[in-house]
Amino acid sequence: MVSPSLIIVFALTLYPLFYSIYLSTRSYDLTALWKDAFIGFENYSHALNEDAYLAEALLATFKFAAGSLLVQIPLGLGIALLLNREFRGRRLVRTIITLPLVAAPIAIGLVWKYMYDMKFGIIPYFFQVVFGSSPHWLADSTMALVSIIIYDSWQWTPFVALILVAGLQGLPQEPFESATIYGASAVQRFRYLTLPMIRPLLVIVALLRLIDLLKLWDPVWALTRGGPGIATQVVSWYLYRIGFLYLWVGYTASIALMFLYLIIILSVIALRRIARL
Amino acid sequence: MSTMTSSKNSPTSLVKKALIYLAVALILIATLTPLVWMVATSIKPEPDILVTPPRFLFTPTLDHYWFALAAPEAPLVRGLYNSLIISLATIALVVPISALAAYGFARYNLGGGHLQFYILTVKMFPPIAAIIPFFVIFQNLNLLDNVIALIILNTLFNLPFAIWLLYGFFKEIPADLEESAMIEGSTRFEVFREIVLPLVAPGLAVTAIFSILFTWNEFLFAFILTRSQAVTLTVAVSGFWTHRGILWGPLSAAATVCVIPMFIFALIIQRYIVRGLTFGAIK
Repeated sequence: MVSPSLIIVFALTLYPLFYSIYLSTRSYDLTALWKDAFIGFENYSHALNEDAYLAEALLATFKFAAGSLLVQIPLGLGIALLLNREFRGRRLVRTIITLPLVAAPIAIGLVWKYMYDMKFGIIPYFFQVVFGSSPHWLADSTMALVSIIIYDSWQWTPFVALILVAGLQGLPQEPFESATIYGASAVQRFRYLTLPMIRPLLVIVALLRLIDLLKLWDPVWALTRGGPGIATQVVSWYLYRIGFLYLWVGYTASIALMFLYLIIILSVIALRRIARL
Repeated sequence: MSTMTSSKNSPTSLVKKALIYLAVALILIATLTPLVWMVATSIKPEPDILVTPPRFLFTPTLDHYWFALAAPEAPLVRGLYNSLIISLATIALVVPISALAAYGFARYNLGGGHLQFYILTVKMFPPIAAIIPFFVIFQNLNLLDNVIALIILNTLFNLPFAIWLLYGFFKEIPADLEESAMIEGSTRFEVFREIVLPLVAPGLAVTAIFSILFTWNEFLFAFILTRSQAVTLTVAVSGFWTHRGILWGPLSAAATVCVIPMFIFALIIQRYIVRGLTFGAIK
């Protein structure tokens, strides 16, 4: 019963994987096919030692992932604590915040590009009205990364919030009741009860978000296409550029494989923790 | 007790309440603004779109929708048709295959959980890394710009997730139920068809909807593997970023067409959203 799916998954992942490994050991370049030859680990050593663009891309990816997690985890936790309270319209709020999660990133990303537009967008307009001036959202190299972080947080903070609400609602009530009787303040209860109890879930949510953040591609296409300059050229965008615009297939395969291993390691850590839940 | 918990209408509890509703209002405004702006732009006349400052009052029009449907640079109708075909073919493959696999995993503990584990890492593969070998393979098979290539990739990427999600649903069915039916003389397959499948029907529906959702929203594979014949809806939407600039009105119309059906699905599977997004780990 299991075998059809196993055959499909194995055949469709292992063959391309080995093919990737094969490609990564060759100087395969679609713009210079006559050069195609076996070169061993040369692609890897070039990527790790000499590729300054890759180093920049790693740095951009790190900044983007760290910035997004710093926004999404605390904000998501805050929203979860709010949604864990009784108030009128709670169910409706929960429903509404699921909407960003199911919207196609490319479609909604392009809508955000319009909102960030310095001439016609409502975000610069809002900043003009409220603060008297607006940063150059997508044109400034620092702000471009911030713009993607804001967009990504709009779309994915609800994911963090909804998972944490589910976690909060599954917590036992007794410790909180006795803490209240013994006079613990709300801050103390959060610090010494809620936080330790949902820490495993927080770690899982952060890991799942991290894996997704490292893979980010659609919003980069929609918002900045790696620019200005290479300010938002994250690793996945760099791979696209060297693989599909420059057509350095062999070299791209070597970086893609290393990137894949990194994500598999993170996935295994995340899945182990999920399985223990 | 009265010293610790304030009574219902005391000033502090009123302030608290006001703060809660203020926070809720901020969340709703932040969440809905881009969506409202998308729909508003899609029905805003062209002269009202390209103005500074942005215009909030205008006479609605459906012109952008008509334009978007006819625009040659962004074949929206073909995209809709292909996305529908690819989504349906993907669930037609994913749901039965994953149901059998998940049932097997749930009842026989195959590979002690390791196989399942290996399978789910596929879902985590960065698409841009996966597409490089697939691009060369599909090129050799002459499957570029062909919906079959996208059906294969979407099936591959949705199977692991579907197996895990369904595994949880199968685990919820008590094994005794099946054992007693088998004692009465039914075969394993009859038990699966007559007892297990009806019980797991909601799980199958949720799995199907999630698979449609991921397939429908998928952009990277479709963008790289298609040119004109096999373009999906997301590729058609991106086509409104033309050489002459971005056509904001028709783009918003196309984005609305792309996003609204998924909103309807989200409302249907609301109860299962968290479960689906965590591969069934959190219910």
